[in-house]
Amino acid sequence: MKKHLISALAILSLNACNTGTTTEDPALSTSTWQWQLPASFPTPFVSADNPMTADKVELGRHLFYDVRLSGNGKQSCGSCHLQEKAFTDGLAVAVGSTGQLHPRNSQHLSNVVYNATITWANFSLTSLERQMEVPLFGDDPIELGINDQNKVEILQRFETDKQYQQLFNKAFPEQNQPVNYTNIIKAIASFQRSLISGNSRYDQSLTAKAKLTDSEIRGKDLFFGEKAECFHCHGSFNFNDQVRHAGTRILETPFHNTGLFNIGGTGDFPFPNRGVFELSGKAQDMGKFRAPSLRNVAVTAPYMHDGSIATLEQVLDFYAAGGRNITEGVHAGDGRNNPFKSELVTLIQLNEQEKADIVAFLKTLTDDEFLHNPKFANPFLPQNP
Amino acid sequence: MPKKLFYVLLILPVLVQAHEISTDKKFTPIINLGGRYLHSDTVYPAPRLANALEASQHSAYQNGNAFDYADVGLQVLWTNDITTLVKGSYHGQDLGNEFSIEQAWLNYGYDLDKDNMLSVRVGRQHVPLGRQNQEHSHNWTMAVEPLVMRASVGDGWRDDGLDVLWQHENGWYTGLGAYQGDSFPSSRSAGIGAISSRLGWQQDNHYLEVSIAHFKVDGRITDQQTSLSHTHTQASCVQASANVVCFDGKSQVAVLAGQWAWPQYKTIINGEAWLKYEQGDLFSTTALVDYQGVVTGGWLTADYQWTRQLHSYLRWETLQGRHQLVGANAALLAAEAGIADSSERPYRTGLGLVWTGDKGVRLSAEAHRETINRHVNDLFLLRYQVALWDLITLL
Repeated sequence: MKKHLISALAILSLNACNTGTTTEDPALSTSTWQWQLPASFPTPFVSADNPMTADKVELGRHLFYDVRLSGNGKQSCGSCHLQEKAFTDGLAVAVGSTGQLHPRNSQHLSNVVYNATITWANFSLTSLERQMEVPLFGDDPIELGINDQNKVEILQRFETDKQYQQLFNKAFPEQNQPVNYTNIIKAIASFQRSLISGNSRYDQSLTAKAKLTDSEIRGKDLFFGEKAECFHCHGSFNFNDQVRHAGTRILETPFHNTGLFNIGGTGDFPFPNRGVFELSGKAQDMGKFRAPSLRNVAVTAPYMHDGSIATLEQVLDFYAAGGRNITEGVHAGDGRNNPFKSELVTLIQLNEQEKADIVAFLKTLTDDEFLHNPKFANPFLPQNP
Repeated sequence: MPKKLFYVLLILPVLVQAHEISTDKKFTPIINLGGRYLHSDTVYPAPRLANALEASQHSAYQNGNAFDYADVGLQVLWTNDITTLVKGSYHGQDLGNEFSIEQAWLNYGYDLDKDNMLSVRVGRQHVPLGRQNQEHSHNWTMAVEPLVMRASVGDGWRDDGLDVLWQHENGWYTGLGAYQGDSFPSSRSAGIGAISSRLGWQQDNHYLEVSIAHFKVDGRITDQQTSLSHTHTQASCVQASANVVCFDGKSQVAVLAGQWAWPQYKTIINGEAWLKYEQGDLFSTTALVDYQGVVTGGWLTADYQWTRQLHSYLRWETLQGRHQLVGANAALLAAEAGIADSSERPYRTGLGLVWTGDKGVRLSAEAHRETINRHVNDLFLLRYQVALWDLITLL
């Protein structure tokens, strides 16, 4: 009896089960697509009507960079979204294919798959497919300039191209006539979703593959601390506060007035750049814009929705002051006192060293591999077939 | 008299062991005091067991001398069949400097015939799940809680409910209980949240007991909740919020406890093997995944009696966990829940010496080497306990 008792206790204690944790994420890998993500990144959400496939991404890459996808054949998506600038264009505001100025700054596309809303201030644009209708077909401002007069001709440019015939057939093998705008949009959206940036020095430091400098560490502590408070709007793995992924259970889509303007002390922003107010018409939405992801922020200047701040150092000065005071001109007004300004944007006592430390940290978010990854590059350039 | 007073003052900073007391007195007051000295090379208790989906562990104990607890209670033998006990404890800084009613029960024993007895206990009580859980931690031979017990029922399962026990003269017994189930591994919710049952065989020198418990878990926080301290209750977690991982499902715990004694060698071997199985949803703002987890482990203790009052103990224990998460962001959620890397088995070896005096005084010393989350820690704990009422009556 005693032998049995002791044996039973010992066996149960020592060998009752194997150890370890196993995880299975069906959305992470499918027969047609496998996400390559850093460990700290969630699995992206992809809508069921446009699942990711490698062939679709490749077609999308070609279309993204093809100027034939504009009315006058002069611009492509890639004209305003340059890879080496994290898919921004370095301009204050974008310029369309006909030379018309866009009212806002071209947004970067790093990790755009995680954006809960797209563009600067449109809470209703929640998918890349819907958003893409704007640059393709929009007429105020004109971006790629596809309209009723040229849309058939533009499609013919691709229908008659042998390479595109192959690309479309591979991307949409179940369709007899795959060259259409629906598929063009799906393919470009798939390519954009593949633009994952997660190999910056900051990311590498999380897995001990890189070491941040003392200044960068101080900047990181300030960034994620209550003194500088940057993390409140830029605190997620993607350094923004609008994140949607495959496991999202609570979807938040905040927009913020950071005190850039306060025209005449009324709280107004310049038309037609008044943020969410342009759609909602509610006073409290005046000047509210989406906080962009800060990944690769060092190469996405100029900053803010209107590109009105040229450098990261100036951005830090702006936030430290709790807004911007414009003393003369039609936009004169003290943005620091904007009545609709976010409570998170207040006067912050940051000395020059602290500002420099935060800038140093922000520069660690640059992902050189992403900026030069041939998978994301223009296939029409000789070096990127 | 001065000598007696001196003796009282000397042992006042000590603690007591008695809770439920075997006595034939009608009224038995309980006044216990306890103190301790701790030296731990690193944080004790370890903030998180990497291979257990646990909750409600406390903040780290301070090294050095500290007040441990003061118990105040009263046990009353109303009749030969009816006993009540009410006891509250004030715990020191280790457990949050708070007072709580830890036991408040009525026990009714009824002789069915000369061989069979039925007893019913209703109220707040230590639930019979294994043998060690039936004792208050103040009475444990070693104060350092076994790893698997912590992983299974936190710092012990004490609950409000009803327990029915049948005992036979030949040593067999079985019991069934129903409880509110508002403590780890369950969480606070309405109605009966937990049931337990047990089957055992008790002899003079040995026993063997199997006990099981089933918990309904309506959302349980899996994070460390230091603010909850020693309340033995677990906040509900039915909606994910920032930085919180919740478990919602069912939890089952099985315990095999046994002992064998060799009186001729003054030696006792006893131990318990625990298994906890959990199945349900694990979720946070990041994900909601299907979860299955098994935690197993146990301990073996060898007790050698040097004199009537002096015992030494050698205990060896281990813990292992296996977790499976299925769903979007399963890996991220595993990391958030602290179970991403659960391949290492924590283990601990301890050596203890306990001296129990005739006047309600107990002194114990124990030293442990534990390897938790790949870190080795040596800790030494000295406890001074006194049953003050016993001492006063003896004086």
